[in-house]
Amino acid sequence: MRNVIKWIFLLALAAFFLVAGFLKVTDPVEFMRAILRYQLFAPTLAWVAALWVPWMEIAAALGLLLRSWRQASAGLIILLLIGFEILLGSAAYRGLDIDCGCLGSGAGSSVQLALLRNLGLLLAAIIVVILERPRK
Amino acid sequence: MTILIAMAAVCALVEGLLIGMPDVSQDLDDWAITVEDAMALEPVLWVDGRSTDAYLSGHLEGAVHLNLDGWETGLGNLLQEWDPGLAVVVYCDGNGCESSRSIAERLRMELGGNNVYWLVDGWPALQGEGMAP
Repeated sequence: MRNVIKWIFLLALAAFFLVAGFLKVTDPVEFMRAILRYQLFAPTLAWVAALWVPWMEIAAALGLLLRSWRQASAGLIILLLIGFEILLGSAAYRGLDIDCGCLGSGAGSSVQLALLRNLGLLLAAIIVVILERPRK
Repeated sequence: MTILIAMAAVCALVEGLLIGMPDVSQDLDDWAITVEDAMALEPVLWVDGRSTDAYLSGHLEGAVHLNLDGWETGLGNLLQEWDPGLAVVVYCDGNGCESSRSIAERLRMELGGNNVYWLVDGWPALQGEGMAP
């Protein structure tokens, strides 16, 4: 049962981040625009993030499927999600009415919806880390 | 984890070298339109991209409610009013007014046309012109 639960969360996380990463990797310019709309980053930094973050998502998603990389990948996903939540929280606090940019262009969702979704993903990643630890 | 981050950095570096950093300073506002210019586009189909509560408490006459969280329902309502000859102008609540830009972008893709704009300064601009309550 423990394994079944772990794999459900694990596959859901891997699928989400693989799709999210792929959609952004194929259109980094649009993702750069989405980052700039948060009004926190200079264009150069937004460009670096637009290139780097999607590849981290893809690497972490693939890493989740490999046993020896699973803990590190789940840890990276947790770090990414915390970062996203801070950005989204900042946008919500400032009342910015923007598309979150989470899934690249054409699949937008509001900041509030993205905040809630990311909380769920964060919970799933924490559960994977806990269930992946060897039992004593 | 360091290896994962480093691998991602290498891929990002290669992609960045292949593409080169774009200049997005100009194209952010390609589809922005002021109230005055929007009025010159008549006939216009107005799209209200604000929250449902805001829409229900007052909107432009004939405006269709469509936002990112209720996309399919809103798009269905819009398609009942839309025809390819109509210019579409999306407004939001004016605070940053970014969702109207996103909605307009998505509509251009889904309607397959280029006649979809977002309103600069959104609802407050309409109120300023005496068009909105």
